[in-house]
Amino acid sequence: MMHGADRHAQWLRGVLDLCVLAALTEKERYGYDLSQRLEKAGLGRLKGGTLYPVLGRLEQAGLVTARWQVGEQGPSRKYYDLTPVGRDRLVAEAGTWIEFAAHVSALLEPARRAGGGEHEPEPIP
Amino acid sequence: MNRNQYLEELRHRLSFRGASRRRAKDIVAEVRSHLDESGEDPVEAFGKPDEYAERALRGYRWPTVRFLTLMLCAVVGGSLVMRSVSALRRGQAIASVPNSELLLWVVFSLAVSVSVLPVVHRRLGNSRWHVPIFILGAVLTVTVSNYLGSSVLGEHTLVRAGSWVMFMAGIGLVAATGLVWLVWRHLSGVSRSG
Repeated sequence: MMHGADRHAQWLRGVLDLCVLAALTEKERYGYDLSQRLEKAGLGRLKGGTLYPVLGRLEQAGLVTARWQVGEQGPSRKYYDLTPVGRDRLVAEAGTWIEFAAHVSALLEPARRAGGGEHEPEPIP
Repeated sequence: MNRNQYLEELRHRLSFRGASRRRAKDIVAEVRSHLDESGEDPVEAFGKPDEYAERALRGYRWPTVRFLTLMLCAVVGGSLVMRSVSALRRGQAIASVPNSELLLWVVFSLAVSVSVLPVVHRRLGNSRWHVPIFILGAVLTVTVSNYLGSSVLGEHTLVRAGSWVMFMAGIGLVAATGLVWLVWRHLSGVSRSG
């Protein structure tokens, strides 16, 4: 049976594309900015080797657009933005995920309470 | 492996895996940008160059010119082999293959070799001896095989075609053999340095 980091990584793998799309609804972002935003949201520190291939696939699928912006002082950055198709996909699949997560929570919560795990989970910032 | 070595190695691996020049440049630039921002160690952040190249290209479905050429080469080559086998099964020593078909295969073979060789050549350190060795090897092999073909084998030659076509086929064959050797060396390098 998996533990801690392995299980977390597996969950994240299934939902990372949606999290990326969600972070892009706020504003267009470049890769490093996105990784910081997702870390701040409680998803943990995402490695570049995990994040950028997902961005590439979203771009390939037409869910995000990308443009390079030359840095005035710092490095050039590739900015990603949500497309209307990406927004529609996010709305549809976010609903599916929330429903699924609610079913899982409903199943796990009684078991957690029965096992004495009464403490509330830490809030995600 | 420092940052520049990592980026250079990544570019090679992307090219070798069939990424177009533009795509490889884009991926490398994005990795460079991330490393500049984060100051992270490249291997820690992205994994070994070959692993990241594989991950970055996973899901990209557009075929490269190299891949298409390789497929065409395999189809035409397969047709030639089938025809020769079929002729042998009928008890014929000679399978006549139209020059145009053989030439087509040679052209595709050469196109594949030419498109892949520079990638592997760069990967192996740009030795100036690679190309001259191939050319010399090709000319020697073709000359010897042409002599043997006409004076020793004679009418028992399996495929009958014009001598200039056979000459081109010989060059294609030597280039393909060289390519296999280079790819093998390249893959040995991959397993060593990832």
